[in-house]
Amino acid sequence: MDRIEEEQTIERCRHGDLEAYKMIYERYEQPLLRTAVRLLGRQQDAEDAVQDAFLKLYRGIDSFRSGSRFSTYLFRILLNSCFDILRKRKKADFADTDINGLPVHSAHEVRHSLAEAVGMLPRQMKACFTLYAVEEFTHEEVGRILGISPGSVKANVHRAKQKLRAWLSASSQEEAKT
Amino acid sequence: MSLKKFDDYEKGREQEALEARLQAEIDSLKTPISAPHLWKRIEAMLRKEETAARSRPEARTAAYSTRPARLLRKWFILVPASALVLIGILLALFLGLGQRGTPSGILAGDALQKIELKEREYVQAVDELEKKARPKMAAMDLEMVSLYRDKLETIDAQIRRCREALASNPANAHIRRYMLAALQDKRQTLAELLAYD
Repeated sequence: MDRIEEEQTIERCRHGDLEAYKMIYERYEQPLLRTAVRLLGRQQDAEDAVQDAFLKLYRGIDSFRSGSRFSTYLFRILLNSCFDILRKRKKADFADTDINGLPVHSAHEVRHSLAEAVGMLPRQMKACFTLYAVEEFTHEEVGRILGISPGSVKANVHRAKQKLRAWLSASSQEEAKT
Repeated sequence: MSLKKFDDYEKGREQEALEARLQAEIDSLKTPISAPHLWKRIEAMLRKEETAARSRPEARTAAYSTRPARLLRKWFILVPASALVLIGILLALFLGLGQRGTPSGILAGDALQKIELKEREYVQAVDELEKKARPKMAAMDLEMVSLYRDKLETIDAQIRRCREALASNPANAHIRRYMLAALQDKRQTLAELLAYD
Protein backbone atom coordinates (compact mmCIF):
# COMPACT_ATOMS: atom_id res chain seq x y z
CA MET A 1 0.00 0.00 0.00
CA ASP A 2 1.64 3.26 -1.07
CA ARG A 3 1.09 6.61 0.62
CA ILE A 4 -1.70 7.77 -1.69
CA GLU A 5 -3.55 4.47 -1.30
CA GLU A 6 -3.09 4.73 2.44
CA GLU A 7 -4.56 8.23 2.51
CA GLN A 8 -7.54 7.05 0.48
CA THR A 9 -8.01 4.12 2.86
CA ILE A 10 -7.86 6.46 5.87
CA GLU A 11 -10.47 8.68 4.22
CA ARG A 12 -12.71 5.62 3.89
CA CYS A 13 -12.04 4.80 7.54
CA ARG A 14 -13.23 8.30 8.44
CA HIS A 15 -16.57 7.36 6.86
CA GLY A 16 -16.75 4.22 9.00
CA ASP A 17 -15.91 1.75 6.18
CA LEU A 18 -14.93 -1.49 7.95
CA GLU A 19 -13.32 -2.91 4.80
CA ALA A 20 -10.87 0.01 4.94
CA TYR A 21 -10.07 -0.85 8.57
CA LYS A 22 -9.40 -4.41 7.43
CA MET A 23 -6.93 -3.10 4.85
CA ILE A 24 -5.16 -1.10 7.56
CA TYR A 25 -5.12 -4.20 9.76
CA GLU A 26 -3.64 -6.36 7.00
CA ARG A 27 -0.97 -3.75 6.30
CA TYR A 28 0.10 -3.30 9.93
CA GLU A 29 -0.91 -6.58 11.62
CA GLN A 30 2.59 -8.04 11.95
CA PRO A 31 4.52 -4.94 13.07
CA LEU A 32 1.78 -4.10 15.59
CA LEU A 33 1.63 -7.62 16.98
CA ARG A 34 5.42 -7.96 17.13
CA THR A 35 5.80 -4.67 18.98
CA ALA A 36 3.03 -5.53 21.42
CA VAL A 37 4.45 -9.00 22.07
CA ARG A 38 7.90 -7.50 22.74
CA LEU A 39 6.43 -4.98 25.16
CA LEU A 40 3.93 -7.21 26.91
CA GLY A 41 5.62 -10.59 26.71
CA ARG A 42 2.41 -12.54 26.11
CA GLN A 43 0.63 -13.03 22.80
CA GLN A 44 -2.83 -12.93 24.37
CA ASP A 45 -2.11 -9.52 25.89
CA ALA A 46 -0.57 -8.36 22.61
CA GLU A 47 -3.74 -9.31 20.73
CA ASP A 48 -5.83 -7.43 23.32
CA ALA A 49 -3.60 -4.37 22.85
CA VAL A 50 -3.95 -4.46 19.06
CA GLN A 51 -7.73 -4.87 19.40
CA ASP A 52 -7.88 -1.92 21.80
CA ALA A 53 -5.70 0.14 19.46
CA PHE A 54 -8.16 -0.46 16.60
CA LEU A 55 -11.08 0.58 18.80
CA LYS A 56 -9.23 3.79 19.71
CA LEU A 57 -8.36 4.31 16.05
CA TYR A 58 -12.03 3.90 15.08
CA ARG A 59 -13.12 6.38 17.74
CA GLY A 60 -10.40 8.91 17.06
CA ILE A 61 -9.66 8.66 13.33
CA ASP A 62 -11.00 12.21 12.82
CA SER A 63 -8.16 13.56 14.97
CA PHE A 64 -5.56 12.17 12.55
CA ARG A 65 -4.22 14.99 10.39
CA SER A 66 -3.57 14.22 6.73
CA GLY A 67 0.06 14.83 5.89
CA SER A 68 1.33 13.24 9.11
CA ARG A 69 2.72 9.72 8.96
CA PHE A 70 -0.09 7.31 9.73
CA SER A 71 2.16 4.53 11.04
CA THR A 72 3.55 6.88 13.71
CA TYR A 73 -0.01 7.78 14.74
CA LEU A 74 -1.12 4.13 14.85
CA PHE A 75 1.90 2.99 16.84
CA ARG A 76 1.40 5.80 19.32
CA ILE A 77 -2.12 4.50 19.94
CA LEU A 78 -0.79 0.94 20.25
CA LEU A 79 1.89 1.95 22.75
CA ASN A 80 -0.74 3.70 24.89
CA SER A 81 -2.84 0.52 24.83
CA CYS A 82 0.20 -1.55 25.84
CA PHE A 83 0.98 0.81 28.73
CA ASP A 84 -2.66 0.62 29.86
CA ILE A 85 -2.36 -3.17 29.98
CA LEU A 86 0.96 -3.02 31.83
CA ARG A 87 -0.54 -0.63 34.35
CA LYS A 88 -3.47 -2.97 34.92
CA ARG A 89 -1.17 -5.92 35.33
CA LYS A 90 0.72 -4.32 38.21
CA LYS A 91 3.54 -6.80 38.00
CA ALA A 92 6.58 -4.80 38.91
CA ASP A 93 8.90 -7.74 38.32
CA PHE A 94 8.11 -7.79 34.59
CA ALA A 95 8.95 -4.34 33.33
CA ASP A 96 12.10 -3.37 35.15
CA THR A 97 13.97 -6.57 35.76
CA ASP A 98 17.68 -6.04 35.13
CA ILE A 99 18.96 -7.87 32.08
CA ASN A 100 22.28 -8.45 33.86
CA GLY A 101 20.45 -10.82 36.17
CA LEU A 102 19.40 -13.13 33.31
CA PRO A 103 20.76 -16.67 33.30
CA VAL A 104 23.12 -17.56 30.46
CA HIS A 105 21.59 -19.97 27.92
CA SER A 106 23.16 -22.42 25.51
CA ALA A 107 23.33 -21.67 21.77
CA HIS A 108 20.19 -23.50 20.68
CA GLU A 109 18.20 -21.46 23.17
CA VAL A 110 19.60 -18.13 22.03
CA ARG A 111 16.80 -17.14 19.67
CA HIS A 112 14.13 -17.69 22.26
CA SER A 113 16.27 -16.14 24.96
CA LEU A 114 17.21 -13.02 23.00
CA ALA A 115 13.51 -12.27 22.72
CA GLU A 116 13.30 -12.86 26.46
CA ALA A 117 16.34 -10.64 27.00
CA VAL A 118 14.64 -7.84 25.07
CA GLY A 119 11.57 -8.40 27.22
CA MET A 120 13.66 -7.87 30.34
CA LEU A 121 14.95 -4.45 29.28
CA PRO A 122 13.44 -1.45 31.10
CA ARG A 123 10.17 -0.36 29.52
CA GLN A 124 11.37 2.76 27.71
CA MET A 125 14.55 1.11 26.47
CA LYS A 126 12.56 -1.88 25.23
CA ALA A 127 10.10 0.34 23.36
CA CYS A 128 12.90 2.39 21.75
CA PHE A 129 14.86 -0.71 20.76
CA THR A 130 11.85 -2.57 19.32
CA LEU A 131 10.57 0.38 17.30
CA TYR A 132 14.01 1.39 16.00
CA ALA A 133 15.94 -1.84 15.57
CA VAL A 134 13.12 -4.30 14.81
CA GLU A 135 10.40 -2.18 13.20
CA GLU A 136 12.89 0.19 11.53
CA PHE A 137 11.36 3.53 12.45
CA THR A 138 13.79 6.46 12.49
CA HIS A 139 14.96 8.03 15.78
CA GLU A 140 12.68 11.02 15.09
CA GLU A 141 9.66 8.81 14.45
CA VAL A 142 10.26 6.77 17.60
CA GLY A 143 10.56 10.05 19.49
CA ARG A 144 7.20 11.17 18.11
CA ILE A 145 5.56 7.85 19.00
CA LEU A 146 6.87 7.85 22.56
CA GLY A 147 6.79 11.59 23.20
CA ILE A 148 10.52 11.82 23.91
CA SER A 149 13.44 13.51 22.12
CA PRO A 150 15.34 11.76 19.27
CA GLY A 151 18.49 12.09 21.40
CA SER A 152 16.85 10.17 24.18
CA VAL A 153 15.79 7.48 21.69
CA LYS A 154 19.38 7.18 20.41
CA ALA A 155 20.71 6.83 23.95
CA ASN A 156 18.13 4.17 24.82
CA VAL A 157 18.81 2.15 21.65
CA HIS A 158 22.55 2.39 22.26
CA ARG A 159 22.21 1.17 25.86
CA ALA A 160 19.85 -1.63 24.81
CA LYS A 161 22.32 -2.85 22.18
CA GLN A 162 25.16 -2.70 24.68
CA LYS A 163 23.21 -4.87 27.11
CA LEU A 164 22.20 -7.35 24.41
CA ARG A 165 25.77 -7.54 23.07
CA ALA A 166 27.05 -8.25 26.57
CA TRP A 167 24.42 -10.92 26.99
CA LEU A 168 25.24 -12.54 23.62
CA SER A 169 28.94 -12.43 24.40
CA ALA A 170 28.36 -14.15 27.74
CA SER A 171 26.24 -16.84 26.15
CA SER A 172 28.95 -17.42 23.46
CA GLN A 173 31.59 -17.89 26.14
CA GLU A 174 29.32 -20.33 27.97
CA GLU A 175 28.82 -22.21 24.70
CA ALA A 176 32.60 -22.40 24.11
CA LYS A 177 33.14 -23.86 27.60
CA THR A 178 30.60 -26.65 27.01
CA MET B 1 52.66 -8.25 13.01
CA SER B 2 53.37 -7.14 16.61
CA LEU B 3 51.55 -8.87 19.47
CA LYS B 4 49.55 -5.71 20.30
CA LYS B 5 48.45 -5.30 16.70
CA PHE B 6 47.48 -8.95 16.56
CA ASP B 7 45.40 -8.55 19.77
CA ASP B 8 43.65 -5.50 18.33
CA TYR B 9 42.97 -7.37 15.11
CA GLU B 10 41.52 -10.32 17.04
CA LYS B 11 39.36 -8.02 19.19
CA GLY B 12 38.09 -6.26 16.07
CA ARG B 13 37.17 -9.57 14.48
CA GLU B 14 35.38 -10.72 17.63
CA GLN B 15 33.51 -7.42 17.76
CA GLU B 16 32.48 -7.79 14.11
CA ALA B 17 31.28 -11.33 14.67
CA LEU B 18 29.29 -10.25 17.72
CA GLU B 19 27.72 -7.39 15.78
CA ALA B 20 26.75 -9.74 12.93
CA ARG B 21 25.27 -12.19 15.41
CA LEU B 22 23.27 -9.46 17.15
CA GLN B 23 21.93 -8.26 13.79
CA ALA B 24 20.96 -11.82 12.86
CA GLU B 25 19.18 -12.22 16.18
CA ILE B 26 17.38 -8.89 15.69
CA ASP B 27 16.25 -10.08 12.25
CA SER B 28 14.93 -13.26 13.83
CA LEU B 29 12.67 -11.11 16.03
CA LYS B 30 10.77 -10.24 12.85
CA THR B 31 9.37 -13.78 12.59
CA PRO B 32 5.64 -13.59 11.74
CA ILE B 33 3.19 -14.11 14.60
CA SER B 34 0.07 -16.08 13.86
CA ALA B 35 -3.17 -14.61 15.17
CA PRO B 36 -5.84 -16.16 12.92
CA HIS B 37 -8.88 -14.94 14.85
CA LEU B 38 -7.74 -11.46 15.72
CA TRP B 39 -9.34 -9.62 12.81
CA LYS B 40 -12.67 -11.36 13.45
CA ARG B 41 -12.54 -10.12 17.07
CA ILE B 42 -11.67 -6.60 15.96
CA GLU B 43 -14.36 -6.59 13.28
CA ALA B 44 -17.01 -7.76 15.75
CA MET B 45 -15.95 -5.07 18.20
CA LEU B 46 -16.01 -2.35 15.53
CA ARG B 47 -19.48 -3.44 14.37
CA LYS B 48 -20.68 -3.26 17.98
CA GLU B 49 -19.15 0.19 18.30
CA GLU B 50 -20.77 1.27 15.04
CA THR B 51 -24.20 0.14 16.24
CA ALA B 52 -23.69 1.86 19.58
CA ALA B 53 -22.54 5.09 17.86
CA ARG B 54 -25.60 5.05 15.58
CA SER B 55 -27.93 4.70 18.53
CA ARG B 56 -26.32 7.71 20.21
CA PRO B 57 -27.21 11.20 18.96
CA GLU B 58 -23.59 12.39 19.13
CA ALA B 59 -20.97 11.50 16.54
CA ARG B 60 -18.16 8.93 16.91
CA THR B 61 -15.65 11.66 17.65
CA ALA B 62 -17.74 12.92 20.53
CA ALA B 63 -17.78 9.41 22.00
CA TYR B 64 -14.02 9.37 21.77
CA SER B 65 -13.53 12.70 23.44
CA THR B 66 -15.66 11.77 26.45
CA ARG B 67 -13.44 8.83 27.43
CA PRO B 68 -12.11 9.44 30.96
CA ALA B 69 -8.41 9.20 30.07
CA ARG B 70 -8.78 11.66 27.19
CA LEU B 71 -10.87 13.97 29.26
CA LEU B 72 -8.36 13.91 32.10
CA ARG B 73 -5.55 14.60 29.68
CA LYS B 74 -7.41 17.53 28.13
CA TRP B 75 -8.17 18.95 31.56
CA PHE B 76 -4.56 18.61 32.52
CA ILE B 77 -3.76 21.10 29.76
CA LEU B 78 -6.91 23.17 29.58
CA VAL B 79 -7.32 23.99 33.28
CA PRO B 80 -3.84 25.49 33.78
CA ALA B 81 -4.01 27.21 30.38
CA SER B 82 -7.41 28.78 31.17
CA ALA B 83 -6.21 29.75 34.65
CA LEU B 84 -3.19 31.39 33.06
CA VAL B 85 -5.32 33.41 30.66
CA LEU B 86 -7.65 34.45 33.48
CA ILE B 87 -4.76 35.47 35.73
CA GLY B 88 -3.26 37.42 32.85
CA ILE B 89 -6.51 39.30 32.22
CA LEU B 90 -7.09 40.00 35.93
CA LEU B 91 -3.54 41.19 36.43
CA ALA B 92 -3.75 43.38 33.38
CA LEU B 93 -7.03 44.88 34.55
CA PHE B 94 -5.76 45.38 38.10
CA LEU B 95 -2.51 47.00 37.04
CA GLY B 96 -4.21 48.97 34.32
CA LEU B 97 -6.53 50.54 36.93
CA GLY B 98 -3.66 51.15 39.35
CA GLN B 99 -1.42 52.94 36.87
CA ARG B 100 -3.30 56.17 36.36
CA GLY B 101 -0.12 58.14 35.63
CA THR B 102 0.44 56.42 32.28
CA PRO B 103 -1.92 55.83 29.37
CA SER B 104 -3.99 52.65 29.76
CA GLY B 105 -1.90 49.48 29.29
CA ILE B 106 1.37 51.31 28.55
CA LEU B 107 4.30 50.91 30.96
CA ALA B 108 6.44 53.84 32.06
CA GLY B 109 10.22 53.58 31.55
CA ASP B 110 11.16 52.47 35.11
CA ALA B 111 8.24 50.01 35.36
CA LEU B 112 9.29 48.48 32.04
CA GLN B 113 12.85 48.07 33.30
CA LYS B 114 11.64 46.35 36.48
CA ILE B 115 9.49 43.93 34.51
CA GLU B 116 12.28 43.19 32.06
CA LEU B 117 14.58 42.41 34.99
CA LYS B 118 11.97 40.08 36.51
CA GLU B 119 11.52 38.38 33.15
CA ARG B 120 15.24 37.80 32.83
CA GLU B 121 15.30 36.24 36.31
CA TYR B 122 12.46 33.91 35.38
CA VAL B 123 14.03 32.98 32.05
CA GLN B 124 17.28 32.17 33.83
CA ALA B 125 15.52 30.06 36.46
CA VAL B 126 13.52 28.25 33.77
CA ASP B 127 16.68 27.53 31.73
CA GLU B 128 18.38 26.03 34.76
CA LEU B 129 15.36 23.92 35.63
CA GLU B 130 15.05 22.75 32.02
CA LYS B 131 18.65 21.55 32.07
CA LYS B 132 17.95 19.53 35.23
CA ALA B 133 14.61 18.25 33.92
CA ARG B 134 15.97 16.79 30.64
CA PRO B 135 17.74 13.72 32.14
CA LYS B 136 14.84 13.24 34.55
CA MET B 137 12.34 13.18 31.67
CA ALA B 138 14.42 10.62 29.81
CA ALA B 139 14.09 8.26 32.76
CA MET B 140 10.43 8.95 33.55
CA ASP B 141 7.31 6.95 32.77
CA LEU B 142 6.28 7.63 29.15
CA GLU B 143 2.72 8.60 30.02
CA MET B 144 3.94 11.22 32.49
CA VAL B 145 6.55 12.48 30.03
CA SER B 146 3.82 12.89 27.45
CA LEU B 147 1.60 14.83 29.88
CA TYR B 148 4.36 17.17 31.00
CA ARG B 149 5.58 17.63 27.45
CA ASP B 150 2.09 18.63 26.27
CA LYS B 151 1.74 21.10 29.13
CA LEU B 152 5.18 22.60 28.57
CA GLU B 153 4.53 22.90 24.85
CA THR B 154 1.30 24.82 25.56
CA ILE B 155 3.16 27.21 27.87
CA ASP B 156 6.03 27.59 25.37
CA ALA B 157 3.53 28.48 22.65
CA GLN B 158 2.08 31.20 24.93
CA ILE B 159 5.54 32.57 25.68
CA ARG B 160 6.35 32.58 21.96
CA ARG B 161 3.16 34.47 21.12
CA CYS B 162 3.92 37.03 23.86
CA ARG B 163 7.46 37.53 22.55
CA GLU B 164 6.14 38.07 19.03
CA ALA B 165 3.61 40.62 20.27
CA LEU B 166 6.22 42.38 22.46
CA ALA B 167 8.61 42.72 19.54
CA SER B 168 6.32 45.32 18.01
CA ASN B 169 4.89 46.69 21.26
CA PRO B 170 7.46 46.29 24.09
CA ALA B 171 5.74 48.59 26.61
CA ASN B 172 2.38 46.83 26.53
CA ALA B 173 1.65 46.08 30.18
CA HIS B 174 -0.99 43.41 29.47
CA ILE B 175 1.32 41.31 27.34
CA ARG B 176 4.20 41.75 29.79
CA ARG B 177 2.08 40.52 32.69
CA TYR B 178 0.74 37.65 30.62
CA MET B 179 4.28 36.67 29.69
CA LEU B 180 5.42 36.81 33.34
CA ALA B 181 2.51 34.59 34.36
CA ALA B 182 3.45 32.08 31.61
CA LEU B 183 7.08 32.04 32.75
CA GLN B 184 5.96 31.58 36.34
CA ASP B 185 3.76 28.67 35.28
CA LYS B 186 6.61 27.08 33.36
CA ARG B 187 8.93 27.38 36.35
CA GLN B 188 6.31 25.79 38.59
CA THR B 189 5.65 22.95 36.11
CA LEU B 190 9.37 22.17 35.81
CA ALA B 191 9.75 22.24 39.59
CA GLU B 192 6.80 19.82 39.88
CA LEU B 193 8.40 17.56 37.28
CA LEU B 194 11.70 17.53 39.17
CA ALA B 195 9.91 16.67 42.41
CA TYR B 196 7.97 13.81 40.74
CA ASP B 197 9.02 10.31 41.92
